[in-house]
Amino acid sequence: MLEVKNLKTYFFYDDKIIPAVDEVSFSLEEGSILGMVGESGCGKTMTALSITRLLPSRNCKIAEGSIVFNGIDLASLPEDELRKKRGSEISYVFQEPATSLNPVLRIEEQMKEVIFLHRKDIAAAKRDAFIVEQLTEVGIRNAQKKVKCFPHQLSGGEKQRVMIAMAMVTRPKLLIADEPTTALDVTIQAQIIVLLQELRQKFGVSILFISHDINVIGELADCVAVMYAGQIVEYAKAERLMRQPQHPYTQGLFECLPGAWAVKRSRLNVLCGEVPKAGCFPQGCRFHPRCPKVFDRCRKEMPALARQKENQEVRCWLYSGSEI
Amino acid sequence: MAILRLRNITKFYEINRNSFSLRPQRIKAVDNVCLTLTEGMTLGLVGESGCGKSTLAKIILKLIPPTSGEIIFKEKNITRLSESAFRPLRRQMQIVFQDPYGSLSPRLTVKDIIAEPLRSFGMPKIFMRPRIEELLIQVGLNSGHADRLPQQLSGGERQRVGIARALATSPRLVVLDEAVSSLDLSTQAQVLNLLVKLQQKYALTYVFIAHNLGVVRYVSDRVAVMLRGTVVEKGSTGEVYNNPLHPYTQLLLGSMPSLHKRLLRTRKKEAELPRKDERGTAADTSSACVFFSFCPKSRKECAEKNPVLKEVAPHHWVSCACIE
Repeated sequence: MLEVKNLKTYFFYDDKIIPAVDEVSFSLEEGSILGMVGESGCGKTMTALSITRLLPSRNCKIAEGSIVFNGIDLASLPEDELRKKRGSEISYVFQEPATSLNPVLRIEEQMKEVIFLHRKDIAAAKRDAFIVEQLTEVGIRNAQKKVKCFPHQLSGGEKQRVMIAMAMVTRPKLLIADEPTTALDVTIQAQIIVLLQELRQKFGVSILFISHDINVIGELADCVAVMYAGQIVEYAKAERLMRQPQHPYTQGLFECLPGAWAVKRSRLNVLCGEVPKAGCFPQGCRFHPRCPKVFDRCRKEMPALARQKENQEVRCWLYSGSEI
Repeated sequence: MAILRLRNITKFYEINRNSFSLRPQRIKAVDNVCLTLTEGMTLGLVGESGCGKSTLAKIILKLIPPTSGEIIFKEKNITRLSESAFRPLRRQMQIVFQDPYGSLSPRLTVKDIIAEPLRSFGMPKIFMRPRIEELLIQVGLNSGHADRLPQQLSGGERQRVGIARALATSPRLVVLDEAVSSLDLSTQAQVLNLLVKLQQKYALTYVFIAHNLGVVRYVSDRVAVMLRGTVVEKGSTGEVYNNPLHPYTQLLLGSMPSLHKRLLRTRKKEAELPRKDERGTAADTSSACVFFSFCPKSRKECAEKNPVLKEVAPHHWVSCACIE
């Protein structure tokens, strides 16, 4: 349904070009959840913003690649055509529910705005009832009363539910959720995860779920794309990735996780160094300075994403002989 | 040996305090908390936002006075000690803050940041430079970092500077208030390793506050679970995590997203998770058990009496009326 191919989003400045997203390709099937995981600054959010072309500044442009959504290339669509897709067919849920709602408008008024713009089929008289129904749908209790509230009167979990309700009002085909649970407590996070799973089942919406938390991704997503330094370094079915991470970076991330496997006080097996900043990526494989299995070829040539067994794709020279 | 004992610590904040309200409303931020910290051990404080973890940390460090109760540090009651009498002890307790961006002055160099506590406790200038270099090396930086400004450092490096600053006065007790929460996974693992190493080297006592349950499990010897200002369960880490008895602890651990759970397919449905959106306000001063309205096991007596902590097994205390 969504097919991103060789997407390159760059920042263009007078003297230099900084790649934020580089050669990103993935596809998302109808009704499935793709989890995108990576550390801060690895290009997850930029990828998501590229899909809706909500890029942050004039200097930032999609340089190459196509984003085919239901047969239409969003990357080359004129702005006014794209605006019709945004909100109605593709919705976005942002990380911070507290700052993405307007603090001086009641929930009701904010919901009405979306309905007014995108759901012309709902008569003005029926709007109030529709809003209450939508809020109940995402699990807000006492919605009748809550619609009259201002955002600050709601809890963090409720605010995120309102955001999701607003995103779902138009019955989008694709929901982009950028770190929707990061600002929430664990118990609320668990509820939001369950809610997203329910929405997927009920409306068949596809979800692009972005998070830095492998645990959350592992629990929710069908497929996972691991990003590093603007590139997808590994892509696989969630279960396969959890059982057999192939890329040294993914393996390293799993070993960094305290909790389930780590024996208390045994040293965590850490990846040394830090994520390189966009603009100063090393030559060759971008992970090679931190890679424990680095060899000569990694320093010179950049590996491509190559398909392995069970549709697992890895960007690493270690597996260059075993593509299928 | 116990380095710190908290006896019946209570902290009330008064709200709506104006000339028209006869009786100001009181918020119980911390309610009747008793904890003992053994020297060289780590106490993990877990709980959701607003449960009083940070207030308790501030009380421990004597940054705010408790409404009632006693703080005994090294067999000395410091609760009512004047600032000047407390000063010699002040250097023995330090704190590392959550946000490495906000907690370091942007206008001071790393060297000046670390020198501040040294100067404050009267170290002669000639000893300062070698001490700062020694501290930098201990936290995994080098003397080259001494003249940099915080903005020139990455998140992990800043947090290391925060740790070096805390260690400058050779403290016995360090409060780590969400010290690794804002770091990326691989950096977080590096800092956790550093903290464990420093603890072993200097026999430091840590109070480790975090909302990430996996991280708390990894570093802590003892864990206390807080809910709305009270400790509902405490004990050795293994006991609390492997055999949680309080329904709230069970809920909290059950909400923890994990790769493991996906592999075992034991995800709970939302129906089983009590909803916390409409949690009672903290100003609620009723005598009911703090978890009463969400507890799946609540009984009549729970509404009348707040249970006290009982030792149910060696090193395992629970406050729940259902547990004998």
